[in-house]
Amino acid sequence: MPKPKSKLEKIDRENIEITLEDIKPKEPGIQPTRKVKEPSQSAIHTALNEIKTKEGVIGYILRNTRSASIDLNDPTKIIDYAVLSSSAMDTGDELSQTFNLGEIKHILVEGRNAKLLAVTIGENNIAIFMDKNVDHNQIYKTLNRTA
Amino acid sequence: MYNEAYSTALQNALTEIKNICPDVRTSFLFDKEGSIIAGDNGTQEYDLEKTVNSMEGIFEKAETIGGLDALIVNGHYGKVHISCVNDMYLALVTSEKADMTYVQTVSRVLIPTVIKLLDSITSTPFKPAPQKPLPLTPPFPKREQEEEMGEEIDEEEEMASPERLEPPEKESLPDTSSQLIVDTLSGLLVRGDTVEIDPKILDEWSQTYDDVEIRDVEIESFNGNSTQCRVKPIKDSKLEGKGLIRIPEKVCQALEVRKGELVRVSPLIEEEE
Repeated sequence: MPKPKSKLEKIDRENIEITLEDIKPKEPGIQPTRKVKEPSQSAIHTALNEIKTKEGVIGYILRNTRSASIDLNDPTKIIDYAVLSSSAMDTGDELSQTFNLGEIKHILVEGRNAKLLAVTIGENNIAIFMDKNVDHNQIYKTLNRTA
Repeated sequence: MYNEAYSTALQNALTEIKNICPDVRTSFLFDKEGSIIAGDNGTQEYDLEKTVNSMEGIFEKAETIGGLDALIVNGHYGKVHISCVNDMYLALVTSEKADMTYVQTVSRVLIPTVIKLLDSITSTPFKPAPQKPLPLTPPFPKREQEEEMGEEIDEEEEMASPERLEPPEKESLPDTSSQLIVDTLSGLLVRGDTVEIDPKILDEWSQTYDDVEIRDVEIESFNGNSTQCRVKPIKDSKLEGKGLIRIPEKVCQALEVRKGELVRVSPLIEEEE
């Protein structure tokens, strides 16, 4: 079957937003064979957009098995931040297993310049980067409303 | 001798913290090199070596935010709080209801005080004696990765450039596309027509389409450029699960994408005759 050429809109690179809608097949006959859970995606996006407007918030990375949404003030650091958030989640899982912490509510990585709050909601891994003086508990509460 | 004294003194201090704060399940001190300096009397039941090893990656990656100051993992049945104290890291494992302000106040006063006291007695700066040196592997140098990759390449095969690729008749599967972050592949021995993707994603694609081996993918950039490439799994385990696609520099130029940008990647399967 010849592949229909998809037309992608130009997107502002400093504010890349991809949703599951973007990757859904356009033809009604073709449906994804994998079932994808979408635990209140719009609510998560709304919460993230609200969080992003807070003073001191550097940005966020939202990733699930099928899409990624990144909004960072400094796009040149996307890779570094993505790798750090992934590493934080791996370390959190390891510590949780070793010390029987059960399901992880959140992980906080504090650096000398900034901090990272990592939360998993459904199959969405969310990492929020912020300045050290930002109240991460407030951010967590905002995110937790969507769970 | 002094080092042993330090370890014993710190072990006693940690045991005292546990006695003062009953919510503390266990606590230990380790350094950035992966050596466990001291632990309280409850550490035996945990695999601390594994734990400290698992921290290796985060130490390195946290340089992005100025180096690791503290790490808190908040679980349903407990918390782990790791914080930097005098060039060491203090790990406190507590119950979920622990008053962390109190626990931290006690530990952040007690441990530095003990170290200061011991320093003043011995009048030499504290160099902790590691209980056990841990086999931490150094970060994988990029050059080694390239050389390793080069060994796998069949030298008889011609180095194909993306421009010379003849796009075969393939069926695209748009419903399995994924957005991945671009990482560039460079080096003399890197095949110009092959990208690398997380093996997990390749497995998922393969399973979705009746275990068909995914050999080719289509990559689309957000400015509308697209190309088809050979694909193989990322071999570097440190890069797995990061949502990355490693693309040769020539292909990046063709797609007009740079490291850190997102691209849409779809698997291609051979059309059945």
